[in-house]
Amino acid sequence: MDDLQLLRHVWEQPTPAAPAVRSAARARLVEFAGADSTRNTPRRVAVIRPAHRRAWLVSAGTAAVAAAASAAVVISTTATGPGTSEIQTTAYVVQHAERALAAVQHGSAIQQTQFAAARNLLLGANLTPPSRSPNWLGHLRFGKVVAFSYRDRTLMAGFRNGKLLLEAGPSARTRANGHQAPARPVLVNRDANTWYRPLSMSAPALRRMTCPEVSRALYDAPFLMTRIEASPTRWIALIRAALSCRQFKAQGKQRVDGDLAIKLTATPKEVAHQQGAREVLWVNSKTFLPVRISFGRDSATADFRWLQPTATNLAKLQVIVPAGAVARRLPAHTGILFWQLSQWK
Amino acid sequence: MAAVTDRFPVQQLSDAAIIQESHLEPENFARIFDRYYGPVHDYAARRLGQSLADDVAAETFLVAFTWRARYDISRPDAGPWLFGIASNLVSRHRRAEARRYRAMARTGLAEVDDGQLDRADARIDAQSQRMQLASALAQVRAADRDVLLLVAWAGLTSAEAGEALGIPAGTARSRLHRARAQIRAALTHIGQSSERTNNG
Repeated sequence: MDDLQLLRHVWEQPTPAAPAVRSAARARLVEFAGADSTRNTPRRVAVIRPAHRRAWLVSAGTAAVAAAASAAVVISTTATGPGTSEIQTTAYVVQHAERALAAVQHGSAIQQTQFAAARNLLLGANLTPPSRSPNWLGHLRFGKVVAFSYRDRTLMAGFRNGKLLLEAGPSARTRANGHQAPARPVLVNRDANTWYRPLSMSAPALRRMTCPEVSRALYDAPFLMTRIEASPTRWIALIRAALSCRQFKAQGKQRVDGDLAIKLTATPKEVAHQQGAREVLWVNSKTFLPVRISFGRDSATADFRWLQPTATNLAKLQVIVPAGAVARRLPAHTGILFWQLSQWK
Repeated sequence: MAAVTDRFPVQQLSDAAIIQESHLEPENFARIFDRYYGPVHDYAARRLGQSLADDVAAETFLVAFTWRARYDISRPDAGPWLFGIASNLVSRHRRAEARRYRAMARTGLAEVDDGQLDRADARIDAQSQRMQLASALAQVRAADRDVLLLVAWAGLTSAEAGEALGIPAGTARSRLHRARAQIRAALTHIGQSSERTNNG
């Protein structure tokens, strides 16, 4: 008997999943499928990219910046606003944006992300993993989700018609520096006046990705928007990686919410990778931090704001359980997942 | 009746066709679940144990559904794709997997009884071999182990394992070769040690 046969025959034969577990998993899939945002909309069917893809490992990415200089694009000087006479290259913008994002990732600012559901879509939420978690949130629908992220902590809040319905985040205070008390994340369903614990919001470190993987992850980001592994916090890491991979080129300046921003658009190669989806990124012309990204998929757009890590702003990362809310326990390691929905009742 | 069936065999839709259909009728994706849940669950259970396998198998199909637009419809069989997703999900539990191998290397005990092994000596042999295998598996590099176990437990070819993991077929072959060599070496080494112990 060779080693493969030994592995097949000597290892224990696994017990099939219990019928109840299988049925629950199937029901969850059917429910998930029923809530699919693309129902009745023909999807672009992609061909998986060849396995022999070029392995550009994304690290700090500054090497790519130097390379990008050779393909520098002069920003249009016809745009309005101060500083338009400056001639900046894609490499210059990318380099400064990368530096700014690196500083943010080291705690220089609190990231506020507002993700509004794309046209004709709403957002929903569910507890994960689906096989163990009751569907307590299945009825909730949001028009927008706001996330605050600082270092490794994230708070996500779902709103409908301006009303806060759901909050998930640390119940402990976050400090700018020094010792941090354990986050003890909780989930508050203000619609049902209930709160849940313990909630798992820890995200594994972002693994190193190849440029095609970065491209794919950015394409999928708005679709499965706040899965912890792909939460808005991660979008910034993905944007940083995409900049390193030279997936954007500078196109000019525009005003975004009154502030002057540099517009970066996906390169033709990137658009081809994204099955035609045209990502557009705007970075503040002074701080070089992202202010908006249009994912080019389902018209999904996210706005970023960057807050000083003051005590007042850090308080936004803390979930306060309302008085009188009913406590419920969740199974261990339960997480939360948001996604876009096309239909609701 | 049989003749009618022979003359007009029921055409079973390929996985690719079902996935393509699911873009318009998302619920159709449940047919992929019906076809592959069992094998995917078995694969995950062998690697992580029963309790984690329930979660991994369920999540595999949610992830697959979410990413179905990326499925290469020129490939009729979705097995490698699903096992690839399952492998990625298993990789989130590397520590649990390593703990499992270490525990089995110490005790040889799995979390289920060997109902299929009738004789006590067969059970002891299996237990001893399982300990050796677990010990050897724990030493194989994670990337090599992924290929090895996709071939051994998911029944994929090395090329399919490469496809599942998004690596070139040649890389998958060399990883498989390296993992098997390592397993064989460990088994031989352990065998020689035990012979020396028995003889001494």
